[in-house]
Amino acid sequence: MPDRQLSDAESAIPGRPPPLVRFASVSRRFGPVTAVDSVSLDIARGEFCALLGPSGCGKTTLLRMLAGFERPDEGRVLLDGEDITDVPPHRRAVNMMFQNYALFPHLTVEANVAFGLRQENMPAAEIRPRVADMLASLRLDGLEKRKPAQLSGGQRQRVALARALVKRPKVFLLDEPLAALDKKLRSETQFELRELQRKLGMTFIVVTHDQEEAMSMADRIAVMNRGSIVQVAPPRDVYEHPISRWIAEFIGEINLFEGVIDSTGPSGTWVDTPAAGRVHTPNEVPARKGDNAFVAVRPEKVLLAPFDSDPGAYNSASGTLVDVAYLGDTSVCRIKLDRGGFMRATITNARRRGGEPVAPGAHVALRWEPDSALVLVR
Amino acid sequence: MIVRRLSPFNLVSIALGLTFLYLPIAILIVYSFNDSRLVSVWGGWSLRWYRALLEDSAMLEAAFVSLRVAMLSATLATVLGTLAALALVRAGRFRGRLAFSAMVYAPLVMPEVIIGLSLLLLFVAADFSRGFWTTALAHTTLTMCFVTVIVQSRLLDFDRSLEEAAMDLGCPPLRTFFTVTLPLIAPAIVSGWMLAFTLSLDDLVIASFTTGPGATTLPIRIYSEVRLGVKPEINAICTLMIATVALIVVVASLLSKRYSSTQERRAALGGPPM
Repeated sequence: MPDRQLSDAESAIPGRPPPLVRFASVSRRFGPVTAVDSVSLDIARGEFCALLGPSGCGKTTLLRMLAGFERPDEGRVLLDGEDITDVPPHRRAVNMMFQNYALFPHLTVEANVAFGLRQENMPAAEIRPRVADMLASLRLDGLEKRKPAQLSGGQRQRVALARALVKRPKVFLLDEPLAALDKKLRSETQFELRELQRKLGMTFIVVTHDQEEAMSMADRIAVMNRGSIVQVAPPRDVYEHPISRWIAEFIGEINLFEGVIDSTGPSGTWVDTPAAGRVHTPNEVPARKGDNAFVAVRPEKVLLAPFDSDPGAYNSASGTLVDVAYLGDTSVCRIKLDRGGFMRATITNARRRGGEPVAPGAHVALRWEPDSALVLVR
Repeated sequence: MIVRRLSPFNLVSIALGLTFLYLPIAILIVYSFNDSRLVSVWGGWSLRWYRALLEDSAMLEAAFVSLRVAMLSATLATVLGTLAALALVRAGRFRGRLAFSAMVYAPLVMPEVIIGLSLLLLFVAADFSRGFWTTALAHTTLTMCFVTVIVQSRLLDFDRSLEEAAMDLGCPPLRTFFTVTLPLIAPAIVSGWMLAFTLSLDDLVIASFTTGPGATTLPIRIYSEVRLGVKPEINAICTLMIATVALIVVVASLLSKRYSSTQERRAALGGPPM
């Protein structure tokens, strides 16, 4: 058990307490395909880290390297300062929850959970109370004698959790933990997992392709694409400050406008875009005047208003509302810009009977704050 | 369950098919209870041929030999066939894999006469005295590939993550095989054993090539008796054999059905397979 929790800022600073898990430029190739390409990542004790990426980005392979099911072709894997690259899976102090849970169908719930402790040659008198405690804490008491086939999806997931956590691993790995659950159960389970991790103070590494899942649970997200980690940051930063166009488009919805940099410096950046006009952002970017860049604005940061006389000199556009998709909590508006291209704006349906502030076909003005937009040069 | 109404055409074809397959067997079973000494004349119900069978020591001994051969060869074939299936499914693409799988499956398509003859030549060349052991070995050769087919198909849809989960929980690879893999493919292994057992029990051709004096199997015994004329006793022993084989087939299919239905339940509840 870690004696204290590390904040995100601390874990990100090298030279502080040594990381619990360290991937040191690991690569793994399957024939001509490079699944993981020279990835380095440190994960601190007590952290909840998410590996997020589209399918085939190498996130599962990275996780399996830590579990011991894949051997890196290059690089080392360290756990608690110890090189475990050549340690077989059954001698590693990490446990994994499999995507399909991999419960032993021929064993009862109780025997499934006790399986790991039996391997440690723990006396039965010690196993029994630990298994009972674990089952009770995951609300599985009463199901001890059932077989996995007789459980619901949510129960099976909790048995899989119990089976791994009862071993008290140094690191708990979760491979798409919520993929097999239905939507409602999924959002409940997200919070439960988060709470469980805080309570146990254990290090969790979760692999997921679902950004909402990663954002709601993790302290830090490592976004992966094509075998590499493209950004590691807390959820808010990944969403608000993606460092590349690919990440901006992968995480959430975003409006992107191509443009040319006019100036950039400590006082901010000016970009001229054909579709959205002149854009100002407060951040400085590593580019020069005349370089191509993208301006990114999240739909929920766009303010939509009926068209009036003066739309403003910058950070604004005008267009025709094409359609409104009512989603209950919010509505997504699609606007055809007067100077070409489309833009999305999300409006919150705060009032029950407000009706649409603007109707499809209306001419509208769009504005956004300078710090709502982002200039991306990659 | 949806019960579909059958068209008259379907009914007739089912009736004809079943008649063609089972009428001879039904006649044989009915006539085994015939009281008459003549095979083709009905003389009322009786168990006298079953009683006569109990006194026919030659026939009983042949039955005993057949059972022993079937037990031994089925067991050997199951061990070897399971190992072959493991090699084919698990060992990856090793050198000579294609040749290995072709050789494993060859007896499946090779005419029995040729298997019998080639084994006979082998045993003669190696100067083995032919009898119980050579027959058992020959039957092992014949039935091993059937076990491999059954076990291989189970291994192919075996979820490897179960083994990974066991190892992840601290179970070494060999123990994982015995505590996780083996219990889960056991139904396939058992039904493979049963199939091997029945195949060995009713084999005439290969046994007649490879057996020797003192190890006459039941089919050989029956065949030689029939050549001297069909005795009603034969009907009785054949009925007993049919009963034995039918029982084994039913048990085997129940086992594999139970296995596949748990698999389906698991798939239905477990969400997407890997």
